[in-house]
Amino acid sequence: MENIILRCENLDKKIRKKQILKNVSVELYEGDILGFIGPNGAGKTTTIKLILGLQGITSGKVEINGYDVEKNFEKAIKQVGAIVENPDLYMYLTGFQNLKLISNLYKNVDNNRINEVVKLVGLENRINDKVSKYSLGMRQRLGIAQAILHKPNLLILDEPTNGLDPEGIKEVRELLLKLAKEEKMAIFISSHNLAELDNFCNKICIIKNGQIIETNTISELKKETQIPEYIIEVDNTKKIKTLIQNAELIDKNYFKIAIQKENIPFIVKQLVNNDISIYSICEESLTLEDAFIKKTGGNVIE
Amino acid sequence: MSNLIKNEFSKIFHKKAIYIICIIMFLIIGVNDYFMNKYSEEEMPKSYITENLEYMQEYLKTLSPDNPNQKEEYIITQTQIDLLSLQTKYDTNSWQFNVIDSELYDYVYNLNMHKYATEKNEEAINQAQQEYDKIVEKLDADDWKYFANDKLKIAQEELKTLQEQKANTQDTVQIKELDSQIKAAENNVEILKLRIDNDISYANSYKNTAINNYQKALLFLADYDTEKEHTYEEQKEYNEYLEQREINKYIIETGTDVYANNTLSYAIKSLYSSGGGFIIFAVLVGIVIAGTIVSDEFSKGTIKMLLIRPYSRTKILASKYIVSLLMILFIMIVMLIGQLLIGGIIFGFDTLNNPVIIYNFETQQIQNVGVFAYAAMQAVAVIPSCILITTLAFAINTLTNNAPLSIGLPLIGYMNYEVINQLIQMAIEAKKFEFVKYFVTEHWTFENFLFGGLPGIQGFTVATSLLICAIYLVIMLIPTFIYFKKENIKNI
Repeated sequence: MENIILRCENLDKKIRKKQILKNVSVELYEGDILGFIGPNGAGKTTTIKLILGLQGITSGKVEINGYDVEKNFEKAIKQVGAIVENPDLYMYLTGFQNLKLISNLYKNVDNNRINEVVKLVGLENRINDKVSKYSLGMRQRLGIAQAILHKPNLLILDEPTNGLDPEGIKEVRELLLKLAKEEKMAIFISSHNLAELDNFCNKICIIKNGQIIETNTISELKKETQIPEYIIEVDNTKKIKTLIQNAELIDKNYFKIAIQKENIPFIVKQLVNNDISIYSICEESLTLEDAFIKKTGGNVIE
Repeated sequence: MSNLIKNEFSKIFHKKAIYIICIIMFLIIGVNDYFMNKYSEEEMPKSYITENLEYMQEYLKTLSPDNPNQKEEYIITQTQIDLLSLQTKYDTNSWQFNVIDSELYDYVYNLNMHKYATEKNEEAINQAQQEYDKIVEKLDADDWKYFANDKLKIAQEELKTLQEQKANTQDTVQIKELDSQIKAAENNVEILKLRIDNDISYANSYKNTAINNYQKALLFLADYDTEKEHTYEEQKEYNEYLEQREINKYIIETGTDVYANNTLSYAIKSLYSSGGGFIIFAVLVGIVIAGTIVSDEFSKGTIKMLLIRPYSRTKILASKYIVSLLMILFIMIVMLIGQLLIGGIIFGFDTLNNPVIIYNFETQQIQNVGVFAYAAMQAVAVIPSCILITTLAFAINTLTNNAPLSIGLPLIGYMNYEVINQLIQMAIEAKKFEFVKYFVTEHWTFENFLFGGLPGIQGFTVATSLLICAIYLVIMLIPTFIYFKKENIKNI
């Protein structure tokens, strides 16, 4: 059994009379990468702030590495690295000075470790420039650098790919995968950019209006929400309806059909036998985004 | 905790603000020293005399000596014109200039009275003219001792007649009256003898100033009846004159210019004094640092990065508070080094040897205090005010996260605290709202207590004033720390 790293139990958060979070429970094990997704205003950042002790918990509890974050904050937070909202750093300091300040607050971080991390996030050429001269993407990398500097076993990232170009997103994704695998970090990522979490997280948690509506592994989530659909391009779709009952016509060249993969050859045979030319068959794979919209029913802030 | 403190210092010293304040401070110290050195003795400009003279002459034209209603006014104005025109011949710092002011009025008035009399008496005019000429001759001959001896003679005669009068009377009330007059006359004689013996002319000099102030102090102290009950204000005034008497006596006897402000020792001595010193820079730095140290982290969002470290919020806030206070100390040291260098260059480093003389009310003796010892005592005496005002800025900053408010409010408060103190004194004198005497600004500097002096408000001691400061400090700090501990970090 893997070690549990983060356990949130029935988190409630009320600000004045407004219920921001209700009964939020999340568990994270060693090596997990959890995608925490939800529409804007659903309570993603608030959840992260409760986990990190930045806001008081109305009821429920958060345990990190077995320590309660409210009662035993210093021990609980020791092995956590995080970016909350934006990678906010001291603009008037250089990247290195920023990291140095943070390294001072931990026992086991020396200059070698700083250089190692700088190399890891690919900032070695600009590390001695002032942060005010950094692009948003560079700041994001520096943010990740400060979060992993002290070798935490829990990494909490709030929208870490914000402002990165596609190349950067790919790099960060690879970096995080590496960290999860090599350093056995558990990673908690909140995002609304669902495409980038696809094929990357092993767990997904969907939050809406302050409530968790789905916790599952990605593959199961997808399975649950669909039978695969295929779009088939033909020369003419006129006769299709009479041949295949559950076909759904799109226009005169395309139709859609929901069948299991092993049934495709029968469909093809049937079409060929009826002198219909097939130009292409492609799976309309349900993206995480589709699953997400299906689950949340669109972005409505209540 | 020490790592947190180190980090806070590192953040402050990577910002430009602290260096800008230091540079401004050095500039102001330099300019101040330069003018102190250049205009160490205030000189009345001659133009002032000539302007005044012209004005008087204009005024004279409107008057007529023949009009009985205006005659007295005419003579007085004419006398003033004569005196002023006589003064224009001499340097404003010369003894003649001062003597004309203080001694010649009677002679000139006498002469003018006869000149413009309705019935002219040639003989009287001649006599008055002769007397006047003789005086002017002495002025030209640079013989100030003539005036001093003359006055001494008159004073001795007066003393003699007073003593005779006393011997001839039995009336106790009159004897008491005479006693005080005799005391005054004796003082007068003493002063004049002192002047002649020590060769102190009437020309503007620190010695002349010292002898004048000494005389003032003697006059006041002679009238002060220690047997009688006095108000607290009077007691304070008494102490002031006591100090004046002793220190001026020291100046006259030893010839050292204790009050000379164009010396490095004076500059160091007054560096931390709350009235007109440079302590305002320590206060400014304290307020600016404490008034931004928390809100800066919030406005830039870096507070989140700070609060997710393995340190409790109390420790994080405490480290910021401690750093704000240490910055006061830092700037005081920088100030001292700056003044030593700048003042040394402007005044000359040897002027550091000018002694710092104080009057100790406890031992009732003149005391020579080392200049650095004095500065250190002064610093200790004013530091509570710096700490309290910095704490106020810190508390407002933590509670409101509003930097302009947390800099502006304490700064305005500090700039006006002497006005507030005056209002408090007025209230105490009027015996209304007497509880204001516990207000912190009356207690947060301890300069009054140095060398056994009287406290600003009757009945307080170092201990009770310190207690009041401590209470204010705790009242400001407790809600600040509780609030910060419970604060929800909102979206930034």
